[in-house]
Amino acid sequence: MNSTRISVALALIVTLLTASCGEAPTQAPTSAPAAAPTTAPAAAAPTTAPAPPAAQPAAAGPKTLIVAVSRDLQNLDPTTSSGDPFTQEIMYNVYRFLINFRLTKTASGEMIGDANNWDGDVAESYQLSQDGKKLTFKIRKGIKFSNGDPIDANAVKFTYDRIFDSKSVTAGNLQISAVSSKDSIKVVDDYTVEFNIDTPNTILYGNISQFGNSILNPKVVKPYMTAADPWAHEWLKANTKGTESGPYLLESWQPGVEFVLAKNPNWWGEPPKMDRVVFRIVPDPSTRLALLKSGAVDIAKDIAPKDLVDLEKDPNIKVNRFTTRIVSWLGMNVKTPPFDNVKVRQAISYALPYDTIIKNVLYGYGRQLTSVIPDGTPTHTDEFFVYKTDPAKAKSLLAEAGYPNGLKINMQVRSDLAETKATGVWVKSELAKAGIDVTIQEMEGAAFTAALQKHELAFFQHPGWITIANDPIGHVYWLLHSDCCDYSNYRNKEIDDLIQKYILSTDVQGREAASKRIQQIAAEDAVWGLLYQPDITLATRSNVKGVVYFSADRDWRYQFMYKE
Amino acid sequence: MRSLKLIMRRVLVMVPVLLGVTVITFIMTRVLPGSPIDLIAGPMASREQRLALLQHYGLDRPLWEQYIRYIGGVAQGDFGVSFTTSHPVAADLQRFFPATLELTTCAILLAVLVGVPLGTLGAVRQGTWVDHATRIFAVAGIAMPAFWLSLVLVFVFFSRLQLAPPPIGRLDPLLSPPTNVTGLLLLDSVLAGNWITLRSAAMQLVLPVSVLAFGAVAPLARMARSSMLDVLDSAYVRAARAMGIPWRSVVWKYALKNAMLPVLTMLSIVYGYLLGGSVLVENIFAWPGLGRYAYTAISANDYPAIQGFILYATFVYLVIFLAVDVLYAVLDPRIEE
Repeated sequence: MNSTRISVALALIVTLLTASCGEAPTQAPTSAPAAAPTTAPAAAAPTTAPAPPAAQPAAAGPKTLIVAVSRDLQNLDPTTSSGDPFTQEIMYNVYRFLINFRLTKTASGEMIGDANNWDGDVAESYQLSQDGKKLTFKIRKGIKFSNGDPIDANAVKFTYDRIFDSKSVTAGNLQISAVSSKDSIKVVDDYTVEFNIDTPNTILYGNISQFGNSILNPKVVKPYMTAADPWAHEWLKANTKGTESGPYLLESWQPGVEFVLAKNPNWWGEPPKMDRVVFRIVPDPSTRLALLKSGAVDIAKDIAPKDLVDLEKDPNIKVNRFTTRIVSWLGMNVKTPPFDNVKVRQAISYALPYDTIIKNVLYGYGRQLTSVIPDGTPTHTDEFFVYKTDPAKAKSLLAEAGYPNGLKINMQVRSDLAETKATGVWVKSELAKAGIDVTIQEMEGAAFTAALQKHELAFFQHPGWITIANDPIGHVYWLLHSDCCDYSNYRNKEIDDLIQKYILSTDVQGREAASKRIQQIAAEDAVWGLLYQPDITLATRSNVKGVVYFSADRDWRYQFMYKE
Repeated sequence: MRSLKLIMRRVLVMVPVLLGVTVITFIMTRVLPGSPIDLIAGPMASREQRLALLQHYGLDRPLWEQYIRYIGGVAQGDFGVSFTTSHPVAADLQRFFPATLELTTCAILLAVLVGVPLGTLGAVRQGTWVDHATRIFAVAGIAMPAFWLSLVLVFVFFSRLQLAPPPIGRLDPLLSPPTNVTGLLLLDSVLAGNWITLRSAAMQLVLPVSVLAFGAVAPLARMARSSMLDVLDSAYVRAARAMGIPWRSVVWKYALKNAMLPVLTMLSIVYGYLLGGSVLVENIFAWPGLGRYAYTAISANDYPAIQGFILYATFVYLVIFLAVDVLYAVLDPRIEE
């Protein structure tokens, strides 16, 4: 064979194989310094951490925590990431806000973040005026962002101006709490900020201790605010460098591979016990389980309840378990017959296999939801929850409703979540005993979410909702009243009036009575099929301590964790 | 040179093909149910906030205008910014491609080294136990689902026997990767003289490569076998035998070369298919490859990422087929232009 032919062939093969190297993508920057990924596959070699000689394993072991997670970070911009609870957890570790949930020791001696009480965080102290219309924050003196710039009243004002100007969801939350615009927030001096509240209320604190209120560094963010991107969304989505204010900073992010938190040298609070926290992206649940069991990782997130049952028996593993205020329910769209008939909804409520679902879907990692307002929120009551699994009663109610021969309905089931799929199966099989023939319609996550947001789903399980600000009226405002999130289109004039009257009010007795009345109406009207409040779990090796639960947002603060 | 003309013509044809692909994917992604804005904005966003986001991403403009902007960007190398990774799509593709390339190339090499000899051996010793054994082996490769095999191998070799390293990606999490030259960890480790990362990268590759190779062996072995049988049956081979040329010479000097051409075609198809990324295997071994990237993008209706990935996959197929056609022309003097 001809040698030139061979060399041409070889050249082609080599070109193919080296197609990956060389030319950098010519990123036409859409805004100022293009969203330069903080790392390329190799630039991950951290320059700040104790840089080990690349040949040896990093000084790991006791000071590095390795966590296996199911997916990657998505959007680090505090004001545009409401749809991304996973990334929110990391924001709680690198960013801080004016006040934070109080660290409290429970009766059993464990530390938790109290959802109903706040201590100053970036603010050293805060004071509400006598008339409830002015909230004054005194910023801690001498505290800094991760790059050494001072955190002061200007940074706070900049943060809130941006929140309002960019018309973010965070601004919406502030407006609901009667802080109506950026002009409501005034800088008194370098270390004092004033919030002006239109109507005194009890829901503001809960709404400002959320990730959307993360205080940002104007010196770092302003340069990225351009004509094309006035709020620096592009930069903040993928970067935090220089504007971190929490115990950790985001040292590196290799999309698809891992992201690493490292100690923030300018953190002004108690130093975290672990120098670094490495989050490895391991999408497959059985792989995560295998890694935890073998000790290759210290923590594995998103383990299925079925596997948790096994893990509890393993002496090398600890399953940390906490109850939550997450509500999961069956929506019945009152605009879609037959769900417009209250007797049909009541019938379904008598047909649901309550205990079976908690046992077989959650494997016991949850408890019965007994009201639209969950247990753990003040003024919750289960006195109106008269429903229990009673197929005979369900049948008689159906007959009263005009369906003596049973009912045929469709159920929209989200197919990419194991929990909702399993619940769908049980609902179908048990409702059949009451003469209700359920046809399951599977929908992928994106399609399901889109239809949910449009309120087009007829009979569906909401996978889980938590109202971070732990207020009963605020909670039902979202779920039974607001345009966005009243997914079953249920409206009741009395409930609407009560919500309008008491959402911004400090009348404790009035609010309690209103809450009870709302729960009563909701129960009698069977607005939802009440399913469960799932527990939250974190499976770790048994030598991992310091797992502190914040029940408001149920995100983990890694600063408290350590390995013995 | 004739080959050069062929290459140039084919490259020119690529452009309209790729453009056509962009149009199709553009329309298809927007026809999919569910807007990415729902997932980004979250449940509590008001209509006003959703609109603001829609405008920010340029999704409120008419379709043709969005398309023009997109193509304009692509011409400059800007494939947009992914909704799910918040990084430029071009950078994402460049980041994930070497992982998939390394994995699939090793798998293909292993599959060729194992499958082609097995297939030809089976043909040469047709009807013997060797032939039957190789055929069963090949069928097993097609029959076993890749994800099942992955889970079994992880369970046996990692969880139980502790022979394999943790299936946690391309490299031990406590090691820093070698200086990035090609993105292929094996190659980069050798170039940097870093034997520790070389060893770790190689160990991490063993299981996923075995799974992919096992699946790829089947079509290669079967094609090699049937192609070899055809050649051994042909007139000139029979003539050579009749002339007294030893069997060994016939097989190695004459038959093998001619039998390989169809195998090359099969190889290009399998390679192209694998380069699209094997989602399930990448998922189980936490491999940061393009299959996973595409899957995540599709689940989230991440338009720029989906479009970028499909463009990439089309381009890869076109390049591979071009390369194979040129190789054919180079290897087979009968093919003329």
